[in-house]
Parts: sequence; structure tokens; C-alpha cells
Amino acid sequence: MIKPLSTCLLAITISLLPLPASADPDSEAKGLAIAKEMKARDRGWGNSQSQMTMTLRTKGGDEVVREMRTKALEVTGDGDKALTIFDTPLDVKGTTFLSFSHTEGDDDQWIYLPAVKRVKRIASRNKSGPFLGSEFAFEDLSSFEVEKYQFDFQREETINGLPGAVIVMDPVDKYSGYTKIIAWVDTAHYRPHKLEFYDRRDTLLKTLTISDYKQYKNKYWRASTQVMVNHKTGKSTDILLKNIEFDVGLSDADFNENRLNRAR
Amino acid sequence: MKQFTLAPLFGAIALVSTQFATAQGNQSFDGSLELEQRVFTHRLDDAGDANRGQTSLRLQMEYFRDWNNGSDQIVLEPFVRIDSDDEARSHLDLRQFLYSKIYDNAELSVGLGRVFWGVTESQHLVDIINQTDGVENIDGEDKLGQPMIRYTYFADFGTLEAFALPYFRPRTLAGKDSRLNGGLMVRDDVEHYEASSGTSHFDYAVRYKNTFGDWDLGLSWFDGTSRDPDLRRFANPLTGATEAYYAQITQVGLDLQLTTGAWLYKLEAIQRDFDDASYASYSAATVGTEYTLVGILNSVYDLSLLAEYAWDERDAPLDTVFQNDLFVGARLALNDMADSQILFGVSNDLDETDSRAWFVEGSTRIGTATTLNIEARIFDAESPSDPLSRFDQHSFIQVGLEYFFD
Repeated sequence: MIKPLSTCLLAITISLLPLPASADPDSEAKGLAIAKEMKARDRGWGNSQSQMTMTLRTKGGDEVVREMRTKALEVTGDGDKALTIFDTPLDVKGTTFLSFSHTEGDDDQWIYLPAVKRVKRIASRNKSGPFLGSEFAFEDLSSFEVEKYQFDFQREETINGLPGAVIVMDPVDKYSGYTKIIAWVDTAHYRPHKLEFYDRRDTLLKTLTISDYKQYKNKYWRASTQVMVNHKTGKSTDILLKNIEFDVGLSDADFNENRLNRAR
Repeated sequence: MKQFTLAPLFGAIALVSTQFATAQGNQSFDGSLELEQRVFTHRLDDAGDANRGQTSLRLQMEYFRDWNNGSDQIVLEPFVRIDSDDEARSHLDLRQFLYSKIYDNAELSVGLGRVFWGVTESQHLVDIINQTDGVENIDGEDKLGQPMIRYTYFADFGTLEAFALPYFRPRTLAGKDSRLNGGLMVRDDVEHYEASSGTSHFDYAVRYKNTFGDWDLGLSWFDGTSRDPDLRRFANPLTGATEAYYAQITQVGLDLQLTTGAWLYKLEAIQRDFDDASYASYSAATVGTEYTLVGILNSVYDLSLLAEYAWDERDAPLDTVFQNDLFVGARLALNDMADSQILFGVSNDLDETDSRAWFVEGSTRIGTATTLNIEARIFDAESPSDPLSRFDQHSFIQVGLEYFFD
């Protein structure tokens, strides 16, 4: 009795799933292979830290600058851990944001509020919400994990003078703010150069341009410039990274929510 | 202004800080200065100057320094408020003056520190280490620096903390000139203690904290002088004049939060026992939930809805205002460049259904280093049996401009 019922349920479940953008198993396999290679080439970086300047611009040219420092720890077999310490604007100075990204399910997030010396665990189903009023959503800034998307190879294309590929990424999580992301990835070093984000109505919402790549530890590529433009509002956000350092001696102890008050 | 003597502690910190002279490390200095204007909605015949409302200036600063690769840290946080009308509200404090030694799996801190325990928003039952700075606001969120020796151990099975608290600080209470004194004239600088050692009584506390997947658990134990003054023991019913009395207590606390998807579920509970047989033991609890809607109405706004229920075993209304109360609120984050946000809430006494306390707190940034802060508290309680009725004529709106510097 159990078997026919579960088969029946499975059939219903499958029929309820949205159809993937492409039904071609070959292009899906090719897309997945590129994504896996991107992840494989970035494996083993360990821990790093950097200084980030985020500039938010309105269509009219008003801007606000946020400065923060980030620390990151690679986690084998799951998403990475990241700590962000805010330096400016001064009214949020000392606020600290800790995130454990997961390949499946919701991330874990904590925020430390220095005025009341309180660590709050916060709901993390805010993937589609903006990070600090910027054009970056939380999900745009969390670590890249193969399990978070379904991939589909579109075509080969030369990107910034390098051989490359255009692939479509469909977020698995139903709480993602996007129906799809189109990524331009070079196949010389497997680095993304441009991402187009399509909103829930499947219209182009934002474009991210990633540039100024530099290689660290003779292996890992990091871009120091990311520019996100929102086509609907005309607003944009620049992220500039500087003083990117690897092997700075960070461990799990530096990402302990009970020690967030010590993060400086 | 109130003074207190902690010469031995300061001496110890000064000794440690002499290492600065040669040490390498990081340091930072920052602070803020806020000008506040409070306006009351009702004029009172006998309030005199207080009818105008209060103008107030607040300065707080933080100096931080570490050395030995961050394993030695010192933090100094002075605080000053000068109030136009309420003499008792003009006060200075060291929110922190703490030296910490950081080990791989442990921390040792000595000095004046600030600790927060708990998960709920409408009241903080479990949070007991620091005394409330009662003249700052009536929401109990502001705390005085607490002299402490704190040892924290980070283990695989969770975080264990032990506190020795060598000195007690009485609560700062609104003075005779304040419209927010609840009709009580508390004599300043006169406090009574159950412990014969008074403010020098040693208090102890232990806390265990851990995360189990989506669950965060805290268990705590405290033995010492209650942070809550008993203002009835020495009250003169004719004049309203009174003096604070602090009893000896043992308190066990539990705080629990479940974080799942867009929902938070929260619980805080305490059991408090008294040494003095004239006080009965009691339990109290707050349960609550918070739900966050991301990008409401196709905007970038986030809206969090909060509901908390407070229960207290004591049913005499003068013991607590949270004996059977429902709090509902909403927090709106605009996610704009000015980090604008607004929090709105109302507490409803389920025994006194005509009793409500409303509040709104909002802030937005102007330029790069100034914020505009607004706050309003509306008290609606007419029944004389309701402790909130003492605030009924004292609803107020407050506007503050806060300038940040470093």
C-alpha cells in the first residue's frame, strides 16, 4: 500500500514543480560542470579578511558611503562563515553582523548592537531583502554554492578578451528574489564578470559588473570592484575591496556568536 | 550629581593600563552628543517649570585599546546627562571601564562592565547583572556600569560564565521635579539594604548559553541584592515620600529562542526567592513571537510584527505592571540611505482593559554624522487601581538630534 501512494505523491510533486528554463540535459550538464569548476578552483582558500567601501547612489546623484571590514572562513561541506564589522556611518559604528551560510535551508544570522551590548539572532529568510539599503540583496553577498542553483549552459562568448561561457542560474530556494540569474564566466580562470538578475516577473532588475581581478596565493582570484545597477530605480551601489589578505589566522572561535562583542 | 567610590577597582585598572606606554595595538575613540527636547501633552496646575517640558543634553564616549595582538583589551565609556529641570536626571556614569584578557577558549574581565541576557523586547526579566538607569527613560533599557569580575569559558558544550559582583549600585530614580516619577518622592541618596554590608555585599551569578540548531538556550542563576527597589516599605502614604529598600534574592532564569524561517519564538522565565520571609517567592514569564515580512507591497521595506505576553505570579498591581499584559508592535525598516526605521508598540493590561501604554520610536540620518530621533509615549490609564494611572497625565513627545564624532 505504501509504495503506490508514495509514487503517486511523487508524480503530483513533479507535476507541480515549475518547468526548468531548458529541458536539454546536455546543456544542463555543461552548465553544472562550469559551476563545479568555479567552486573547485576556489576551494582551499581557508580564511581571509578585507576592507570594504560601499557607495550607494541615487538616480539624482546623492550618495552615502559605508565602510566595513569583513572576515571570512571557508567551511568544508557547507556554506562559509562571514563576519562584517561596520565602521561608518558613525551611528552604526561597532555594529557587527555574523552569518553562517548553508548549502541547504536558511542561513544562520546574528547581529550585535553595541548601544545595548546585545547579540540578537535574527530571522534569515531575508535573502531577497536589501543589504543596508544598498542594491545588493543578502543573497547576492552570501557565498557561492553549487547546491543553491540549477544551471543551464547557453553559449560560448568571449569575455574581456578571454574565452567564456554564458550560463543561466535558477535559484533553488523559493524565497530567492530572482527567477533567474544570467552569468558571464570566463573559462580561462572560471571567474564571473557580469551577472544579470531577473525578478519574480522575469524582467531584468539589476546588472552586476565585476572587475579588477587579482590573484592571491597563486591560485585564488578576487575582484576588487563590483558595481550593481538597478534598472528599475536607477540606483546603484559600488563595492570596493582593499587590503584583501589570506591566511590571517582566523578560526571558528572568531565566528562565535557569543564572542561578537569582541569583534573590532 | 551622584558619586560612587570604586577606588580599588580603578586602581587595579590603572595598574594594568600602565602597560600601554610601550604596547603596540589598536585604539579607537568615538562618541555622540544628543540634544533632546521633551514636551508633555497635558499642562498641570502644580507642575510649574515642568509644564514646559524638559531640555536635555547627553554625551557618551568610548575609548578602546588593545595590545598583545588583541589578547589584552581595555574599554572606557563615560556618560553624562545634563537636564534642564530634573536635578536627579543630571548624572554621570561610567557605562564601562573594563579590562579584559582574551584567551583562545576563555575571557577574564575586571572593572565596570555591561552585560545583556535575554531575548524578548517588551521587558527583560532574565537580564539582572546591571542596574537600570531609571532616570534615562522609563523603558528600562538604559543600564549603569556594574563592578564585576567576569570569567567566560567557551567549550564545545556551550558557553559558561561566572560573575563575582563586589559592589551594588542603587537604581537612579526620577526626582521630585520630574513628571515621570510616578507620583513618588524618592529620597535620593537614602537607601536601605537587607544585607548588613549594604552596597558592599558580594553578589554572584552563573550563566550557561548554547545554540542547538535553530534553538538558543540560556540558563542563569543569581544570588545577591535585588536590582529592583521596593518603594513601598518606607513609603509615607500621606506625602508620597519614600526611600528605596533592596532585598536579598536568589533568581533562576531561563531564556529560549527558536528561529525558523521568518519566525522567531521567544520565552523568558524567572523564579525569584527571597531571604526575607515578608516577601513571597514568585515566578514570572514573557512569551512572544516576531514575524518579518521582507519587501512589503513591492517595496524594499521590511516589516516585523511583534507580539509578547507577560505574566507575573504576583497579582498586587503595585508589585509589577506586567502581571497579565499583552504587547503588540511593529518595526518598519525603510532600507534607505538614511537607515530610517520606526518602531511602534502598545501594551495592554488584560486585567485593566482601559489601560494602555503606547510608544513610537523612530530615527533617520541627516547628512553623514547626525541622526534625528523621535520618541512618543502615550499613557492611557484612568483606573486608580492601575499603577500606570500615575503616568496618565504625563504622556510626552521627544525629539532629539544626535551628532556622532570620532
